[in-house]
Amino acid sequence: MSAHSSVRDRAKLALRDDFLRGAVHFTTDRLRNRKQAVTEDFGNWEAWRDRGEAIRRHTIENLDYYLGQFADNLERLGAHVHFCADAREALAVVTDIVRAKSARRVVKSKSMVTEEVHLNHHLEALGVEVIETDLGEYIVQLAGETPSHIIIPAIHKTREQIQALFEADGGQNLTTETRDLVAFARQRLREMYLTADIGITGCNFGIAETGSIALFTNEGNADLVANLPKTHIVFMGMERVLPTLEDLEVFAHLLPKSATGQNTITYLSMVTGPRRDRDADGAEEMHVIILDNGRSRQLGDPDFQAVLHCIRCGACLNVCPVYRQIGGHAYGSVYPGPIGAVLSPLLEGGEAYQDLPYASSLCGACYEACPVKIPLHDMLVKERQRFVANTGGKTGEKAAFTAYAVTFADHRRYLGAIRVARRLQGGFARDGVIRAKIGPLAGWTERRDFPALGSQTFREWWMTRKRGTRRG
Amino acid sequence: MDKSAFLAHIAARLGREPGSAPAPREAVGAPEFWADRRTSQEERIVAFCAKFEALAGEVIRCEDEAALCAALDRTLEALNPRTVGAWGKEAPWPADVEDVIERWGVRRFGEAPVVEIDVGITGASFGVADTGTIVVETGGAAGRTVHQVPLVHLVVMRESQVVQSLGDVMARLRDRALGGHLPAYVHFISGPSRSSDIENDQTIGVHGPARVICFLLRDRTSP
Repeated sequence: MSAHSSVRDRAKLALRDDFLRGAVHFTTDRLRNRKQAVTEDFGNWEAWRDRGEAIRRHTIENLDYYLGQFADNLERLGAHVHFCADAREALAVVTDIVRAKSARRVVKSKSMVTEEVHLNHHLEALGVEVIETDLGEYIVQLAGETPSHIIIPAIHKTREQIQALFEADGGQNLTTETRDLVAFARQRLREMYLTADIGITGCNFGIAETGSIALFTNEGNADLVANLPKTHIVFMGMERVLPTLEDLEVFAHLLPKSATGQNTITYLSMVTGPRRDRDADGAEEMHVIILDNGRSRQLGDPDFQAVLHCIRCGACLNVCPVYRQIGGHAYGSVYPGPIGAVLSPLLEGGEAYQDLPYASSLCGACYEACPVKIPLHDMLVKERQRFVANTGGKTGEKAAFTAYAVTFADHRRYLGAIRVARRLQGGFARDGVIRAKIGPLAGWTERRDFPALGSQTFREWWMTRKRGTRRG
Repeated sequence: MDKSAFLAHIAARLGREPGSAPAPREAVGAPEFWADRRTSQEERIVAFCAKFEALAGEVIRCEDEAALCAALDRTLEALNPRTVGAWGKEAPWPADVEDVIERWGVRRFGEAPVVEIDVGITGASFGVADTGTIVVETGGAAGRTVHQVPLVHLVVMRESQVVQSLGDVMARLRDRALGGHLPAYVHFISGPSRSSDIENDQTIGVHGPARVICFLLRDRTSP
């Protein structure tokens, strides 16, 4: 995706879409305000963040142990565990399961990892119908698009657009009332759950000590996806484990409060293996696909290991001044916002997404919002440093900084440069500002004025002032 | 990829000996100020009801089993459902509601299909005061679909089942797991199913139940 256009080009497009900008502003404001209210009411938020950070750090520092324990427990319970180094391996596992089950229809609940490996595309190529059941994902899927927010995938769609999509999907005489639209989706998706051969969910947290999969949803779709079809496939990034059930309490507070400002999630579902012998419902067969896909490269790297602490709450998107202007699609990667700008180039490696770390003002709001205190703003700077070190940076930029260094190293050169600049600006400065959209200034002056150089420098002014004082 | 190779690679990246024990933990579970709170049972019950209702759940407090059955009857009359489903008889019911179930010709899980019921009746294992959550453990006659597929979920629970925190529930589930009795599916339910995916307009009853009504039975055990 990013090979064809830059984040700068995509941002320009997004900035022209007034509905998108309005919707993103409205939603992110609301999520942010609700989060602030709920965390204030809850109290001791910093202590909870510290605890969350400590648990995630310990888990990742000992990840081989906890992941092994988690897999052993699942296998003991009769689940199949698949360790996959990359997307290709994960998709091969899915192909085998689909063929073994002769599956024709798959229902899914929200999972960013499946977006990462482009699972839907793969299933469709196998001739399998895939249905997203999270309401937002369902809308995005009908529109043939990808999610634009980790938590609210259809943040960019109007109710009129949704009505049209649902009518194309078989809805009749639908109004634009939310209630009506939701009723259609409920009934339509119910048929899908009951006829699907396989259900695919993500995994918010895997509990090492018990081999449990914890799923967080508000709609209850993950429960129907996991339980109604005969086969349940779980997709998880390899970093998503917690040592014990007690640790899950901390994240049952941190995640919904940070994500949507809800005190608690509506449904927390704990799936511990396939149905037992005495159970008459639930999936008979369970597969857990544990994916690396660039994650292990961050382990042992002091600059970036902490990116694996992320619990995918999306709080950093909601506070980011750049995300709030350009929305999720402009990032061109699976993960948008500050976490996406950090994570996408790391997971992908090589040249891909190298421009994303520049889509940030480095204000640090993302770090302040992060429930597990990932220093995202530091990571963005380090990625830029790494990019410059690997590529030598942009020629123009390099020349500019070389000139800057030479000029500022010597006060005579500095004063000379100021004199030249004052002469050059002469034709453009009016009332103390420059408005002309020319040369390297255009990027700035397109939207605001550039302050012109004064008629004398501070040094010149100081000299005259000193002389005056001495005389008096 | 092979499991041991996958884990060995992670250990190597972390500079750890493959298969070695983890470093000692400095922190487990919720912060101490949270885990060490002491509250009375009455405070917990009041908090549970308030939180559950704030999430659009409904609570009907019942003095004894007769009152609970009468309240269930009244609720079913008002709902006027075409089909009602319930856990099987052998499920761990917190109160005896067999009379009501018989009177309404309810489909019992394990005996009749429950995927197309309008109302589902179940018990529960815990209520959580901090979050207004009902914890339903499934297995055997306590089928998962009974409370997941209908539009209305009626839950029977005792006051003595209300605990303070999610951590209190986790500790008990951990004991079950260590004894090999953790059910394959445990559901933490905090109010009806909801979504804000259409223009941020919150609506209920998307995939799960649109109403969750908790019939909370007073315990006579303490004076």
